[in-house]
Amino acid sequence: MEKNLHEEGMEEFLRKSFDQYSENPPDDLWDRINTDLAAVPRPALKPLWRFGLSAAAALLLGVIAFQHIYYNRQLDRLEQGIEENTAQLEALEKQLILRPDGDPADQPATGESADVRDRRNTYSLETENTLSGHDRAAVDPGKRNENNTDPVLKKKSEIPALNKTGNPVAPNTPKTILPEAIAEAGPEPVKSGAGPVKIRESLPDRLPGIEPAVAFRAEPYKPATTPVPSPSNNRSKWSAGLHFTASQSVLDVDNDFPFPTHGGHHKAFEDAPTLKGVAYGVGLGVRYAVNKNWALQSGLNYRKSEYTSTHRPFLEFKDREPQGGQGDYEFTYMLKTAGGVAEIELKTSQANPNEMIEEDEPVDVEVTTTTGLEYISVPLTVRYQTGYKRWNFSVGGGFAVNYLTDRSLAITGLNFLNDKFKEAPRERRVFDAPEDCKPLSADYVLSAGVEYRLNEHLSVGLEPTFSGALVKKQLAPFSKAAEYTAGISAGLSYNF
Amino acid sequence: MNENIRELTAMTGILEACKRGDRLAQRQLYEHFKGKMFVLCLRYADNREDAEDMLQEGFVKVFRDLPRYRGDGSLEGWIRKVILNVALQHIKTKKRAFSFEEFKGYEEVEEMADDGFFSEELVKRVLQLMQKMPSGFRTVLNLYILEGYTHAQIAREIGISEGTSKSQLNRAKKYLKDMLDKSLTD
Repeated sequence: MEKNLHEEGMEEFLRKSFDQYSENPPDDLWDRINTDLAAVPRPALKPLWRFGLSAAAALLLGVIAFQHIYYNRQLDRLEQGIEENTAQLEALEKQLILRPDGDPADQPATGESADVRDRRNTYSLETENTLSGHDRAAVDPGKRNENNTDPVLKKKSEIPALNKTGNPVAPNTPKTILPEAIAEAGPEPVKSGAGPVKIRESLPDRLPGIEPAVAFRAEPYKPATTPVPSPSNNRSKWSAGLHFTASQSVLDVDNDFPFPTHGGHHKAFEDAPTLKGVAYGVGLGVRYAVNKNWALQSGLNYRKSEYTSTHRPFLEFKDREPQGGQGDYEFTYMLKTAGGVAEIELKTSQANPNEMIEEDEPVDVEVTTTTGLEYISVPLTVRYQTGYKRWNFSVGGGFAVNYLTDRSLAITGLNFLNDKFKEAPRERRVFDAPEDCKPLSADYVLSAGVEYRLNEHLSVGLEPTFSGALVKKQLAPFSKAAEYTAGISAGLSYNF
Repeated sequence: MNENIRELTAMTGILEACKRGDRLAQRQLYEHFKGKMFVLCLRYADNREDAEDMLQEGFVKVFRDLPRYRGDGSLEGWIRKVILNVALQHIKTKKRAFSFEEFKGYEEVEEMADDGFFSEELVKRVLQLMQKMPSGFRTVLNLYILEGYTHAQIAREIGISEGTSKSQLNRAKKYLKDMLDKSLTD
């Protein structure tokens, strides 16, 4: 072999030696692997959360799209109404029709000659700047109407009928008249050719020679359709509130722990990579309404999550400390958890102190641990809201930045499956998880809520909320975790 | 030939059962490869305990990731790669990894010398010597000579320069040869 080492060279020697060499690990290694494999989660969880997230996003988009389309149609209808009304008004303004009866202005003035009366009844006034011939000569240039347009006198028979856009129409086409104008006209008989429109105002100055000339002007514009009332209309732009949230949560841990080399060579086990738990929190929120439908919301929240899991460390009687102790024993092992590597000390005692226990007797215990995580978070969400009477409905989405303020790990349950052992009557310890992690993380947040206005200022609301990890939380130097929560938030808001 | 086919068929069956999570089949697969894979871990570890931890974690990862194995290469090669990655990850996360600190004194090596050995004993001796080396030296030596990595690949894998990889390899080889010479002449 020595000859081979020098003749073949170091590299070849190593290759050949290790290629043929095999060495068996200790017999209990399979049991350790078996224990670790038992903690592998069911793979169906991740797709479930992905499905939930996709459904929530689709719901959010659907609601926004529906609202967008619905209100766009409403707006289109309003605009169409406005256009029609405007056109009708324009048409009416162009139909400046003299009415001989009914209005005092139309009564013959003292000394008015029959010729003048005849002309007044025979001519209509237009506001076009198209005077010509003797008509123009009859108008005093210094007596122009308010709009500085030259009145034009035409024989009624010369005035073409106009449609609602002001264009001439065929003689037999019926005139389009606003319903309001018809109502105002009342039962008063209508003279031929004038239409049912009541004369509202005369020209400020009578035109010489054709007095009393009367001009028509339409009523100030009133939209035919009443605007859709919105409860948001009466609100101020700012509101603030206090809320409480309760959620179900899942912590999906991505462990990359090295096996700890400190603390001797205790056995090491891994906690379940997916933990289920509950989360609850309180927070202050502030909302700013950008317009009737859109708002920005932020605040400051405190949240505490607690995750419970069970693992089965593969421990044998020979692993006890101190070796050779009688009655009470302590088993120490390393547990890789979501919050880091923790040293677990199990206090146990022998069920029957007089019984002889073999060194390789498995302790076989189920250990339940509770991992606690506490955060301060600042959310920023965009909300789309609409309302009906006192109710206000909203959907929102955005982000939250979290700061991990505390972690803890506690043994909360021991179940000895081997009846030779039992839990020692000692206080359960709470273990601090290691430090040295990056405490900042980011979540996305989706929510849909309903709010009820109690009075002018106060509202109460309920809001189902879903949040998921946008950036994984680094809970320990070798542990990252994605946290998903689905819950409901109840709150009280004050609208300024 | 027939035996090879039978063995291949049996291994395929075991593999499928392993993918379904059959613990008995997983045990069979583990028993089949544990010897070679443990040596792989011993070559990268500081001591046996670390090697056991590497092997434990490595096989857990093998069984978790087995559904991703499509049979493109040999099963042994794939398992070796998974466990090698676990071993390298262990080394990377250790504080003193790749510090290339000075060797420990020769005294410790001398303590291991004994009389008479045969091939298996020599390999065990080499393993013990390798475990005494700084982890950076040991990793470069293993990756280059026994895994067939190039210096460029080693540089990428463990985050050092190619020049460092070359120099550490030479120093590691010289160290190992000196120690073996010393051990053999005692």
